[in-house]
Amino acid sequence: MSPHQSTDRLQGTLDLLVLKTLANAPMHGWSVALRIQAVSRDALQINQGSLYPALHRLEDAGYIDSEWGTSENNRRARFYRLTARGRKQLELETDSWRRFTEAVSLVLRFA
Amino acid sequence: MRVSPSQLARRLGVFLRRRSYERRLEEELRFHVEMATSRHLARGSSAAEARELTRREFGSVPRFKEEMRDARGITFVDDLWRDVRFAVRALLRTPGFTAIALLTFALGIGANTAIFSIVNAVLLRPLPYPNAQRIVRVYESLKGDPEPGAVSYPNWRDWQQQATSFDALGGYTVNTAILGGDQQPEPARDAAVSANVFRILGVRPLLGRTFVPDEEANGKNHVVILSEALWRRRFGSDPSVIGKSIPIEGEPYLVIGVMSASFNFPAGPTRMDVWTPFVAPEQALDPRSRGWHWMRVVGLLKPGVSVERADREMKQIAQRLEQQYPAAQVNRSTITQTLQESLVGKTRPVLVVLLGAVFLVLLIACANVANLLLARNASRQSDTALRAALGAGRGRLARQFLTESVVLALLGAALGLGVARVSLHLLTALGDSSLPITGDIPLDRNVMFALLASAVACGLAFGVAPALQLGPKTLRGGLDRLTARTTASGEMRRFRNGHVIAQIALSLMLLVGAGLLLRGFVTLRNTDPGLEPERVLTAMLAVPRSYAASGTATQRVLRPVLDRVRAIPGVLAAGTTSMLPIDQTGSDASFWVDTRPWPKSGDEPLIEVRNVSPRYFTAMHVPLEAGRDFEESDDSTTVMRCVVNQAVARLFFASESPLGHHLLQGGPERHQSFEIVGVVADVKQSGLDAPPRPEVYMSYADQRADYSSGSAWLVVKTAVPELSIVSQVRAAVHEVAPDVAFSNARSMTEVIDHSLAGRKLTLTLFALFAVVALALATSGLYGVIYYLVTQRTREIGIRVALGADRTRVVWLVLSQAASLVAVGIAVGIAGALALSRLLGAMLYGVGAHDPVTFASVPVVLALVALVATLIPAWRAARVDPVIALRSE
Repeated sequence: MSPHQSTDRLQGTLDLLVLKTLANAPMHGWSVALRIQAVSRDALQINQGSLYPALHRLEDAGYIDSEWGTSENNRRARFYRLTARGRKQLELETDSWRRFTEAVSLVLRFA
Repeated sequence: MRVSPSQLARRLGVFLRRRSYERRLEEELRFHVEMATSRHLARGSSAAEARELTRREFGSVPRFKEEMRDARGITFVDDLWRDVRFAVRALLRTPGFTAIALLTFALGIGANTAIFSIVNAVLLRPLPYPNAQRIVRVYESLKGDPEPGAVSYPNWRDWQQQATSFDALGGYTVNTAILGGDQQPEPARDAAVSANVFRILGVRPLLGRTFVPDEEANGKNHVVILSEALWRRRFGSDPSVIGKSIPIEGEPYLVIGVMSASFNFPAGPTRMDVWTPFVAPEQALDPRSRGWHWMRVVGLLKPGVSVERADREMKQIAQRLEQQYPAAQVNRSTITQTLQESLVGKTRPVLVVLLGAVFLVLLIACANVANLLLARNASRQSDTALRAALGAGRGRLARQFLTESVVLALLGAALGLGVARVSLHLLTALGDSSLPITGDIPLDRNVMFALLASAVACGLAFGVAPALQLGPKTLRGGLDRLTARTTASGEMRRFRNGHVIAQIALSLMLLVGAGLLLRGFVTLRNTDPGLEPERVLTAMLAVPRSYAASGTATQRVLRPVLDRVRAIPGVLAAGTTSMLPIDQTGSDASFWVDTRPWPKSGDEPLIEVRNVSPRYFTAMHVPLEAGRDFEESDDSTTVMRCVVNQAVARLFFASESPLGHHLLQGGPERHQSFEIVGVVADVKQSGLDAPPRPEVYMSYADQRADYSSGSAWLVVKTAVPELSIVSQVRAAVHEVAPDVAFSNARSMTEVIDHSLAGRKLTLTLFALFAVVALALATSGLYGVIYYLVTQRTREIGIRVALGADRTRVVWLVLSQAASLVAVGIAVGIAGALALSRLLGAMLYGVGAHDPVTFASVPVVLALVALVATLIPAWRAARVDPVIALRSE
């Protein structure tokens, strides 16, 4: 059971990051990858490929929408956009993430 | 994993556009890879380095593709699809097994679907009125008696004024009207309805309009609404029929509307032909007619008012009316129930029992299919074990087995739909008027859903045993079997034996049910009706209402008709009656007798009244026990006469002779007096299953205008086959009474058969189910024993080689079967004892625990089981030890 759970946590974290990234503007997978990498100052070492199952999972759940458009260098690319449900989900997950980290830091400080 | 509906829709979209989804997935990933590579190139890597770096950063493309498909639920569907194809291939590889399993299941589920669609049509589907839930019937009744009765006109008027639960209370009656015109007069079912009835039902006519309240008055009531069927038959569906005139009862009626074909009110065995405005006859307006119950009432509840509340209010009103009019209303109450309940209430127990019975058949069919699957999977065990050894998980294998059985069930259900269609067709032909529906029984959404759901449930149910079998032991054992065959595992034998026991028990229960119904039916069929139906022709004479109203029907129509009919060669006797016994009942009046002081008002017994002609008793062969029959020469101006049945004689006179005494109808102050001139034997006038009621026969010459319905039944005893003279009798009637409609010519035997039609249908269905159940259970038993013999061929071979004689071998097999059958029978008897009471009122003259049935059915079952076992046993006895031992 435990490895399964940890994958879930990892997946959940990735989902949260993707949602947060898409909250500002619609973008395609490549720029989501770049952005996560840039903002996390390269600290998060994840396979860029794992981003795509996450994107498709989120679209399947109805949190994001996709549309084909043209990229900066005039190539066809798939753009993802946060839906209203996704925005709500982002708030929920941000909250729960905060509570989780606060709890962990409390434990680390006082335990 | 829960999947929301919108998610399911998205997944379906993706799944249906698989190719384009794959293409886009490809394009999306390629875009990423190219962007990443060009970035590395821009930073100064060589082409090869850039590709390598990108690959390292991105990870495995195929893996992520798979994960993306997973995210869309595609993998699950893919697996399912693969399993389905595998299942279909496997089923095709064993056509014999597949055919038998499909057939068995189709039979089981088809029968279920047929019965369920009847239940759906009769009990579940709301009536086709917009406010169906608010439409109620209100009846008068006797206190504490659940039997709903007709309503008197003054009571209806008082209800309308006092009741607050209803938006409207409409009144109506159903009569036979004579339709004239170019053709011979034809009788038509005529519902006289108050104008608000159409508003209560919330229906609009197909053409024209419905009635307005103004038309509920003599002189303005000569307007008529036609049924779609009559409109088609008489007017060729002419849309300009509105405004035309049609002669009804010899008077012109203006056609103002046509109802659509689906309109069936008042619903009954026969549909209405015309609707005319309800006009209360003169004598109903007399306040003293409060005790004359002749009309029916339908109401529309106010929104939000429950039937229970309305019922309470109506009972309170009845209480008040009783205090106000003690003479007429003593001991009277009301019953309010939904229109649907009033139509199907009596059918419900029968349908529920049938549904239960047919469900048992489905269970047996499932057990049979499960056994077949088990047997087949046993022969496939090594294959399964191999697949397990090669890494297929137990869950995955189980899922595949279940898929296979569900596929089988769904295919069976598709076939079953055909079975259901055919059997419904037969049923409606067979059921005729014994079901409270007219028209078709649809296989609608409810039925389809039930079919699909039960097919999937059955598929899972009979797939579970083979799937459960996939224990580690079996999987390992299966591999052993690659090299050596052994007997079936104990686990599996228990499953199969359990199935067989259950099948035998269930079919025994059904057989007992069928046996009890059959015994009841035969008892009923052999009941003496008190008359002799052989060679008796009956027919309805619809006499113009004007004759009935003026009291001249007998003199102007019936007497001349009888004289003419008696002259037909081959006619032995002829008479008329106002109600055909067994077929019709329910015209009562309260009577007392001149030998005793009057009882408290309301305590006079209700006695059935029939008006008959002289020679009616002769024609029906009702024995005259004392006194005499009516005579044409009887003069009723000074004294009115009556003939009573023995029940009346017992009720009032004990051992004394009733002849010469008088029956009094009315009250102590005002009553009519009838001299008793004869006593006849009891006739089961309300049906073979009901005890004879006290009955008084009055002369057709004394027909009281307010009781006469305008029609009479002609009863003709013949020396020749009764139906051979129908046309002669019809011609004779029209010769002397051209304005009389002659219809419903039936033999009296048919009338009695018709009264048993409902029971016959129940019995036929039940027996059919029981036979199917027996066949399935027998084939199940046969299969198990056959399999057992096959499995033990080697052992038997050894026994024979060691000198066991053939009889011993047969005995060995028989004893195996006998223990299964014995347990099944024991369980079945226990179940039947517990459940047979549910047949309740459907049994006549036989107890629910009838020892004859309970003793004979197991014997029959055991004999059939013996035959099913003898074939494989005989095969076992013929095992050649040399071949048996070599075959391994």
